[in-house]
Amino acid sequence: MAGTLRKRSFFGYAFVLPALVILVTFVYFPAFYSLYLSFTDYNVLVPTYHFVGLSNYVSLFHDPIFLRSLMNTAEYTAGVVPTQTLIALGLALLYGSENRVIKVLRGLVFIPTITSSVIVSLIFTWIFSPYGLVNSVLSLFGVKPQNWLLNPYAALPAIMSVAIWGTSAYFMVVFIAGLNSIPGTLYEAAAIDGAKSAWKRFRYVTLPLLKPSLYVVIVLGLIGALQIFDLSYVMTNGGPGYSTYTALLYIYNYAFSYNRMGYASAASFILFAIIFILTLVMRRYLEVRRWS
Amino acid sequence: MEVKLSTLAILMLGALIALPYLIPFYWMVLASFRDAATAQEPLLAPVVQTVENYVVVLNTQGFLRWYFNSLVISILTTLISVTISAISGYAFARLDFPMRDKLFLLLLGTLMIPFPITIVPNFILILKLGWVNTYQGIIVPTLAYVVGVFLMREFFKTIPYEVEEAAVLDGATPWDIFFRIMIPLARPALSAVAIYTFVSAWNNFLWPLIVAQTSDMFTVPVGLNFFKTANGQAIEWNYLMAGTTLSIIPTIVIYAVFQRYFTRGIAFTGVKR
Repeated sequence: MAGTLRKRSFFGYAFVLPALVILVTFVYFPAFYSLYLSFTDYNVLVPTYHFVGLSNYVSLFHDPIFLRSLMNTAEYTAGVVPTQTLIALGLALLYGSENRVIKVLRGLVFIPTITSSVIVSLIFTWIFSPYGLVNSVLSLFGVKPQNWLLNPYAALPAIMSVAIWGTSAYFMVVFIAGLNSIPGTLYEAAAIDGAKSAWKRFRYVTLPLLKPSLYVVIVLGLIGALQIFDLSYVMTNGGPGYSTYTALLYIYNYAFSYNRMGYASAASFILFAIIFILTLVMRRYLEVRRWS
Repeated sequence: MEVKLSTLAILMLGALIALPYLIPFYWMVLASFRDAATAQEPLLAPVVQTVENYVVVLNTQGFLRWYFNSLVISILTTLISVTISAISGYAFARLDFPMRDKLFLLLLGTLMIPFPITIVPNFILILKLGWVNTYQGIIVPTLAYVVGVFLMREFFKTIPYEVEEAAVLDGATPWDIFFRIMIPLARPALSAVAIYTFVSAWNNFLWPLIVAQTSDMFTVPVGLNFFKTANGQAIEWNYLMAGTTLSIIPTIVIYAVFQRYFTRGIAFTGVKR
């Protein structure tokens, strides 16, 4: 049997090797290399580079554009995550049943989530344009046409609404799975215990048992929102002014337009720290203890 | 009667709520059949005015090349990535070897590392390898799909051990067991991973944007973004919408055929945490 065991070990290592090699090369190594680069003035066009200590980090916190990009990212996240979570929950309650027509509608609502963010951005660039759909609908109510994406106060909310449109159905599916995992007997028991109204059943049975799904939706939502890039790059390229400039757009521009890769790495580590801390906070507040 | 009425109300509400999710696509398709003068009108009647836009997009804009690039990249990514997910998921679920669970944790740990901190070093890596502006530069860094490995592992765990015990007694190697017994059983899970990988690769934007430097290496999203800005401020909506309509065809077709696998995959990652 020892031979068989060794053979099985060999196959085990051989089978997991490709995945591990790729992840170590293109995820772990870059993560550490990026930390190292963040303490240097690495520029891809300059052959030599120097260790500069914390000066990239110090400069970043003195750069009003970086701070602006962090504030925009925070505003975007604070607007998008709660809204998409609530809408996704609403969609799940509406489209969660196994009725044949409802299932078809659920399938249609899901289409934005399988569509490229660039395509979504292009369609919505038209929808928010001066002659676009938003203005024509608003003109029915006597509102004057706006150039939404060129208005520094309206551009970021416009992008936020596009993001919510594009992702809410994805999280709906997570909620539907959560709803389906709640045993029907619990609702019957709750009804016997006096939870007669639909609201009471939702409040005291559905909501507490949806907590694991809620955790997933909020954490995945946060991680995604903090990395917002595609929509602001395609729809406004960070403008007008810096009103839709996001953290990842800043990192991208410093790395690939200005070639300041050490500096961009430092910025990416600050973004990483924010994502990491927020994920831990959410885990603390939302994760349910497993009792099995 | 009361029950039927409430069902009807839910159906009507469901149809109403679905409209905002569909109208943008409806407009996109209609605008793609309009000439430049009327493509920007917001409330379009469903009339095919011209197919000229498609002719223009297919002939002169490098669009076919982008489409070809996207297909090559998405298909190769899917084939390799699914293979990697399947073999490592199988090993982590069914084979015993020292450090197995530690290696699995190492794999899951990558989920903690967000994409933005890897883009600069990965670009430098690609540069040193001479892979800038190549297919392998776009494909290789995205090949290990951790959720796919996880999904396959969970699936292989559900297959009863009796199935392979008989084969082991007959002297079958893990290789035989994997290809003759496990893969045919795992078809639903494999499909879910394959579809998800294909759609992600087809829609991916930031990494191809960094790696592809000349128009002949652009993918469809990179090319369409380029096409939007190529003409300065005046966006030619009629051409652009013909391009976007053509570019969503593969994902829509795959979605229409394999719809249940999409939702199954997401539901799985959402619940099993």
